[in-house]
Amino acid sequence: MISYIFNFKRWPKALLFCLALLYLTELYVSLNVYKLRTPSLSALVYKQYRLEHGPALDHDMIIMGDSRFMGLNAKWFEEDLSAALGRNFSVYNYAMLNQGIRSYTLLLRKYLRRHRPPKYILFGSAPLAITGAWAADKVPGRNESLHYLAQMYSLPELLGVFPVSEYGRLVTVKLERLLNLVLYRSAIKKAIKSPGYFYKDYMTPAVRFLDKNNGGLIIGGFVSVTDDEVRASEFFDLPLKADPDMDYWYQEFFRVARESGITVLLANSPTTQVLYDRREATGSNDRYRQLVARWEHANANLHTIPPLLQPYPIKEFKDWHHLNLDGTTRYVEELIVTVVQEVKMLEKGAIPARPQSR
Amino acid sequence: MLFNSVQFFVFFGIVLGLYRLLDHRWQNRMLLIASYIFYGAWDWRFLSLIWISTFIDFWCGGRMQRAADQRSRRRFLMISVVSNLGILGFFKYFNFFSENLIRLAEAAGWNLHPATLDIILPVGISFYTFQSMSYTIDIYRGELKAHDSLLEFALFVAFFPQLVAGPIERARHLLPQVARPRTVTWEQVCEGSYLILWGLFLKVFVADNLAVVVDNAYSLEAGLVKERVWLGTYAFAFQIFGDFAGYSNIARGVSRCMGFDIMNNFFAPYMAASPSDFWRRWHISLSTWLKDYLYIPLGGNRHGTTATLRNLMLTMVIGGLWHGAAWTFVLWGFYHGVLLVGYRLAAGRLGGARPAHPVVAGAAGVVQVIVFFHFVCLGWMMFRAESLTHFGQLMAAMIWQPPGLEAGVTGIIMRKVAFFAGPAMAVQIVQYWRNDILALYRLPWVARGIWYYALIMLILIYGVTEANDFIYFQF
Repeated sequence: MISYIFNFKRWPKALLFCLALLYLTELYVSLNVYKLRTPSLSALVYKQYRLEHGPALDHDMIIMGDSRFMGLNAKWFEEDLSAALGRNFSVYNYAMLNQGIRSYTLLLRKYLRRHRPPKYILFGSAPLAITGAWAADKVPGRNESLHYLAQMYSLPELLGVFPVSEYGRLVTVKLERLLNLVLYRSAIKKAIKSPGYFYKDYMTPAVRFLDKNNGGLIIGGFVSVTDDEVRASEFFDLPLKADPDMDYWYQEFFRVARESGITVLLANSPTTQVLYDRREATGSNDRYRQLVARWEHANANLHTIPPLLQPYPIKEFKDWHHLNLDGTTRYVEELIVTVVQEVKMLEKGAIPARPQSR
Repeated sequence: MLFNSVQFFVFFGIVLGLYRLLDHRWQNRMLLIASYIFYGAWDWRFLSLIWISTFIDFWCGGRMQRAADQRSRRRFLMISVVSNLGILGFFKYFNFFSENLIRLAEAAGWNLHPATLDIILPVGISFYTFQSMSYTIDIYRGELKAHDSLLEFALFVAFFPQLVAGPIERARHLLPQVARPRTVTWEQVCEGSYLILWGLFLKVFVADNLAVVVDNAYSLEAGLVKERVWLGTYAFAFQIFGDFAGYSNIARGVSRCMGFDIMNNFFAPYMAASPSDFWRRWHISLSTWLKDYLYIPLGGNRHGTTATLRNLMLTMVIGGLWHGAAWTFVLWGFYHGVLLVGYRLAAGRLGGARPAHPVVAGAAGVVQVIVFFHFVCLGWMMFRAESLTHFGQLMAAMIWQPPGLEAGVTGIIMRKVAFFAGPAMAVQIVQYWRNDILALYRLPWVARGIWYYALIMLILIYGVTEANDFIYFQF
């Protein structure tokens, strides 16, 4: 063994040289990792830091949801609710990109572990999420969402909520996180293609921006989606039929909230007029309304912010399922009014508690 | 369990760890169990087919060995061949022949209703039945003695690195390696690891990235566009090479790490200058199998020109059909048969004349390689097309359609194809130049370190992370 170690001629020199080059590249990427983070990922990292390492939080309301809700400026909610209730009412937006019902449950558990339970959760869940299609790896960006989950949660936490069929992918993603080279591969690819892609120290302005808007990350542009693009969006046109597994996790989310004394306010998720009409015609919307009614009946802490489903014109969308700035502004203004009314009634006890089925 | 998945590498790590701890007898037992787990991970029900092939061929081999006369030997060979081809025929070709019989009857004005069954094609069935049959045929010919250990024979049939997509090993090459104790040297591990890395690169960098280009180019829903179809065809040539050679290299590398030597399946195929040269370099294990067990028994080149050409054509058509139960594969086999026959006739007339000046001869050789590559690409179009009609549409788009893409878009696709196919072609040139499949593995250590680094970086940054199926699994 000793003679082998000192026998330089037998060393796997090419392998060692290759490993040294890989290490240097990894080091370079690690030192510049902040330049590779997208605004959404920067927001996620910041919110994660706030949850795990910041001082104990004491919000009255937190906003939870996916990319559709990430852009809600929680400061506006805070100001209007404080004015309406005549007291300080703290609101923070914890919506993040590529989330699903399992990750909302994980996020809520994580929040409750260190922080005082909020009184309300403004919950923005897209009707499509009930189908389980989002979780079943049928859409682009799903792999990225696993990276986001792997960033936020440990492997035992993830294995506890995902089906066995997803374990391989989860372990793979966790392994990929060992190397920044792999973790930021898509950003590196873009940076190689167009060097201007690098974000110039995005993190600092992102933190200031998130602090200013209480977690709201406004990234919507003014562009509009076209009719043809919406017609081509077959995935988002899936019939809304509840997947039993998804149904279970929604109920679990409401249960965790209920046991911590949290009231969940279910907000509508904006849909294009075209999809809304198609869903009306196929009975999808009715099935969703019935499902939510069943959830409300089973969970006294769940309240729907009316209207449960509302269409928006195509010109107010920037892609198949995200509002542009015009759309977001209108949506937020309408949502704030109804949220304020609902919270005021709840605070006064004007909304009677419904009987619980269990 | 795909070679390009984390699950496989975890599985292989466990197998390798156990392999190092066990003695020869237990190594074989463990490898057999591991092979069945590997195959069962796809569909455990089809393990029964492997067992049937294994038991029948082992029994027939033993009986042939003990048979007193040639008639008995022939009878047991027939049992082996009929049962293997029967299983293969049922699972792979039943519906194809049934559907074509219906069409033929309809064309003749008869109304037939033969059964069509909802049959799933077991992964790798064509590979292991051919491998298993080679054992009984070799015993019948007296080239091999029947093996006395069922366990070792079962491992020969089911050896997991090459079970589902080859290389199709011969009993006389692999069985002795199974039977005798193996030593694993550091050099074998290094060479095996390099083959795994190179195979992985071919699969996840070359093949999986080019698959996107090909799928877009050949999609009827998206519409066929002249430039896309041309570039898609070049892309497919490298996609199928990356996919299949990638699998074969990983299979060889994995085997090498355990002290096995599996035959090489590819040697710079796109440097071939003629059809016969191509088949000496592409899917070598199948082409030599067909030569040894079909072409030569048919008479080979021993009975005059006409018989030789007939045998060549028949071998290639059957070889085409081996790839799948579809007319596109039959056409592909027929096309390669025509190329082989045509080349043989033309070469006979030219008498191997070559330019005297070395530079002119070299340039002529390069032109020959480029021209023949285009013949191969035409074959790949047949191979990739979903039907004969689809092939006709692709040809029409290539030849008759006016250009339909903006120059900028064509440039982007060209750069993409060049970027992902370029390394695969460059390595083939080096291998051909040095006449060594491991030419880059034998570079000086600094250059080799940079080469490993480049491969790993390209896999990490550009490799397709979704574990996609290998094309040859369906065969």
